[in-house]
Amino acid sequence: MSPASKANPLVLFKSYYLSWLQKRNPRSRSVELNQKRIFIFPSKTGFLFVALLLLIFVNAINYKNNLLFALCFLLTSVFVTAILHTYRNFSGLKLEAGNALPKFVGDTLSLSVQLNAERLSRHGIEFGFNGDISVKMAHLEAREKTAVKIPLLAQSRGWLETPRLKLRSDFPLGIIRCWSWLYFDFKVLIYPKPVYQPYKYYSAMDGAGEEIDQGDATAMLSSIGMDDFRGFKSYQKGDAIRHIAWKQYAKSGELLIKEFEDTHEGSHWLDWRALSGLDVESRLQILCGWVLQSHEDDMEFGLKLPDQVISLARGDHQRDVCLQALAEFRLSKESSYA
Amino acid sequence: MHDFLTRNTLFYLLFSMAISMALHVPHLPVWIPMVSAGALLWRYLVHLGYIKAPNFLLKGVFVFASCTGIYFSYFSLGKVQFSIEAMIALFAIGAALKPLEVSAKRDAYILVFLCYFFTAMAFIFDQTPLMALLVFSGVVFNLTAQINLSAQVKTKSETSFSGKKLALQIVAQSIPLALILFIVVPRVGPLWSLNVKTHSAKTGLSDAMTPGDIANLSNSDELAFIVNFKGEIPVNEKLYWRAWVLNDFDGKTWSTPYSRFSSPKANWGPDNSAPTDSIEYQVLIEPHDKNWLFALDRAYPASNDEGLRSDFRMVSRHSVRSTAAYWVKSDMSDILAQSNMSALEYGRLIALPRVQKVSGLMQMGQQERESVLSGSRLANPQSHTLAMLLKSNSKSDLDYIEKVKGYFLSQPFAYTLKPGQINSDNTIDEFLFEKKKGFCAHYAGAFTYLMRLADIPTRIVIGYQGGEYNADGDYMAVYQYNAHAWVEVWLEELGGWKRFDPTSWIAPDRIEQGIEDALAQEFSQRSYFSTRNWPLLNEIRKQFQLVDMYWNQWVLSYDRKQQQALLNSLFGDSDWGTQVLIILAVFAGIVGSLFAGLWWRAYFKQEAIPFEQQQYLKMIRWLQDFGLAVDRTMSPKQVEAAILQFLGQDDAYVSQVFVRLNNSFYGALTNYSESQKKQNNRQLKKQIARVKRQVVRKNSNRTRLV
Repeated sequence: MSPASKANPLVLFKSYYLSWLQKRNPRSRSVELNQKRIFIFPSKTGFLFVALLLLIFVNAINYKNNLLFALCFLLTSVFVTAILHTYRNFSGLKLEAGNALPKFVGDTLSLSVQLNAERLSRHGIEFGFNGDISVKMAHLEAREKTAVKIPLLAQSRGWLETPRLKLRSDFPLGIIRCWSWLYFDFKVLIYPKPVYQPYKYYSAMDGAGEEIDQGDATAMLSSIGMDDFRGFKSYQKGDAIRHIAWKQYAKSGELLIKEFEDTHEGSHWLDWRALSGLDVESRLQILCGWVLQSHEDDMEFGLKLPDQVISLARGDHQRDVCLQALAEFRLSKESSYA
Repeated sequence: MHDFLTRNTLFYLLFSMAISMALHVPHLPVWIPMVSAGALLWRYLVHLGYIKAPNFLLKGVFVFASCTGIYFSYFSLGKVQFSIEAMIALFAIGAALKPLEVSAKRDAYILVFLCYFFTAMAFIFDQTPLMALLVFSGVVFNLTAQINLSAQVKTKSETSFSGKKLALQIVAQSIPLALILFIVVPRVGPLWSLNVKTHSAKTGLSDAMTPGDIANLSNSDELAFIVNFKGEIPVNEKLYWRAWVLNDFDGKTWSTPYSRFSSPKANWGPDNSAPTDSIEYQVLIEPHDKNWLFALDRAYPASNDEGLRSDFRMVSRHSVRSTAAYWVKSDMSDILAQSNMSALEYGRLIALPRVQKVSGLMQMGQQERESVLSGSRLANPQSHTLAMLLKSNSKSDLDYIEKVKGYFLSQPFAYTLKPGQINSDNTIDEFLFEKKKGFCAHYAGAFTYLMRLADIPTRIVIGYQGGEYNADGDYMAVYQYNAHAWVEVWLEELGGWKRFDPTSWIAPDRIEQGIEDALAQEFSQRSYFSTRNWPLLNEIRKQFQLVDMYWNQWVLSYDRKQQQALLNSLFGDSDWGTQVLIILAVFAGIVGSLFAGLWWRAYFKQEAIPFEQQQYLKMIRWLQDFGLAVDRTMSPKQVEAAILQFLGQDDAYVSQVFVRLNNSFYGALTNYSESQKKQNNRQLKKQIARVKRQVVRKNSNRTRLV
């Protein structure tokens, strides 16, 4: 127990409450709403309604007016009936966590929840994470299915630890409110927030941790990528200018193009060690930016992380593999749901 | 400008407001409904985006103007009383302006609740079955508005969900519980006394009588009360419903100041000393805002809520503000023997002459003496002469009464509701010797005056006379036009007050047949009596009245006494605790069955079979009837093969139908709209019918061949 929670009983209570909720509604992919999960209580409007009932009742007494009594009792009875209807609107609704595409930290995830109305029609159910109601579903007829997309700000990299999802509805009369907390297990990977910076490379020759700035990058590229160098070919219109072998041009006056192993683009290693001196998350963010930039430029790239090396490749798959590696980098086992 | 309300929700909101306002139109100054209509229109235009909602300043102006309007409508010009109408009007103007302020969901809910309350308040003014119908319909509209409000989702394509059906459903489901609550919730007395007067004086008797004024009695066909007799109904001329007693006379007006004669003390019931030949009856009284009750002759109240004053008036503990019911017994012997006070003295007191018998007077208080004598002191010289003359020729008080009666009969007196005004100060003389035209008030007044001149204790009683018998309901209805005034004379030899009705000497029909017949001509000129001239309409009117009677008896006048009686009849004379337990059990049962009903539908009812499947199963059943070897476990492909085999040839149409069925069972799910679904279903049904025709044709061919 931390000293903070000791000092504040409210914090203590909240943590107990949350763990109780968790136990009651364990994290899962799909859920059917039942009495274990549904909470029901009059809303603020409901208390206003009760005040209205009292007002009519007092008038009925003072005027000895039986019709006022009758109206008052009818509305009282409507209040009771509303409890049933509100509960029924929730009860038996099936929800299933949908899949969502990976996003970057800082992006807004659009998490899809599949709703299955089952035997009853459903109306006016609102959704939101952490109690911030953000989406309202219109109407779902009995046996119909639909999906609602609930926005959530991606806040940290890794496998999304979905906050509790709140469902809420005060249908049909607005006087009784029904709600439920669900712990859904959305399989969404969140990549680090990309930070775009000039490439830096790690040079083994220059010793560990030494960096080479961009001025030497081209040289670096040619020296590091020496293995991939195949030979020269004469320049043709459309060839990348930066692949022109200027040294050879200076010697012979002939425009030659350095030809590499694969296609017309270069390749490079994006190395964790090139970013020494920065903290882990910043390194990951920069690497993320490099990965995206490299993919954009259609370069061949590999990723070197302290515990993982992804060999040179290019294309969407390579990007995704690298981003996943960055996202999952040194995540504790418990918080990973992969 | 985007309104947060959908059109559908807004419509029901504004409509509910309009309904509740309409229910109050009869007692509101005309400008309030007009303001309300304007506000509703304004709000609608705001919704359409034509104009903006009024800003803070403008709203302030509206509120100020409205308050000023209320002030001028209710509180200026000497009308300083704070009446129910003024309160309702104040509330109405608030409710009328509220729609302009509805800019968030919370406001909209408040508007709905205002509507509920405002609609309910209509019951204060009117409690007829028709009004009940209107109010409860209004409540259904309110409920619909509330449902739409809760369910509304603002999307580009507004969904057309309407809560009307659900509102009706909720109301229907709520009725059983409401009924139980209505029956068992204890009716307690008023929490505080409301001394709020109403402007629209309820038609009915007034506690003073000025015969010289133009006819203001008999001018309404409103119901006063209804009587259910336990045994036989007495004849019309015995039905004198006493309500109020008048002692004072100032030369024009007969009255009874509360502070003087009518002692504020009453002997509260129940009074079980009624003679055995008393008649018993129940009175269902319409609200009249006074604490008078109506009873025949000497009444014996049956409960603690009613009592009898020393002048034999029956009174209620509280003003009658809503339809109420009470049982009472009456001794019809026509003599009100005064035993509960010094009767003889009371009698003498009223009879005492002006100056001579001062000694007797000394025994009573100054005020009372003056009150009783006041009438006789005034100048009506001709009456004095007449009284002297008649008195000197009569042997007894009774003889004197006969002589006075003789005078009335010998002169051309006429009974009419339009006697014209009496202008001179000597009102009695003018009536007795010049006009000779009048109604009950004139005759009762003049007769009492003549009696008092002869030192005979006499007082005027006002109330109702007669009533209309409704054979279908076996009850007596008494209307405002049955209002009457008569006289009670203290007769020493009888030891009590004896009733005399001078009107009956002049117009015997009035008492025997009722006022409608006695004044047939005058009555027929009144529009509201026109129905009575048409037998069929009259019959319909009586049927409606019967409904009214049951309404009054079972709904409006249901009170603590009836509640106790009903509970006792349901559960026997068990103690209160048992009754409460039983009620709670029933209550729980109802709520439980409500739950059970909802859950049965949700969980135990068989899942509906999709339309295609239904049709398919149906088809298999009739195919079996035609002798095809098919059953419900077979796939569409197999069934198709069986049909084609039966038809003896390939059939493109049949195959097409089965492709469709196959797709609907095993194909990808397509989300069709409701209308598309309906169309598809219709199509499928047609197609299957065509297949059936083919099979039938084939079958008949085959049978013919055989």
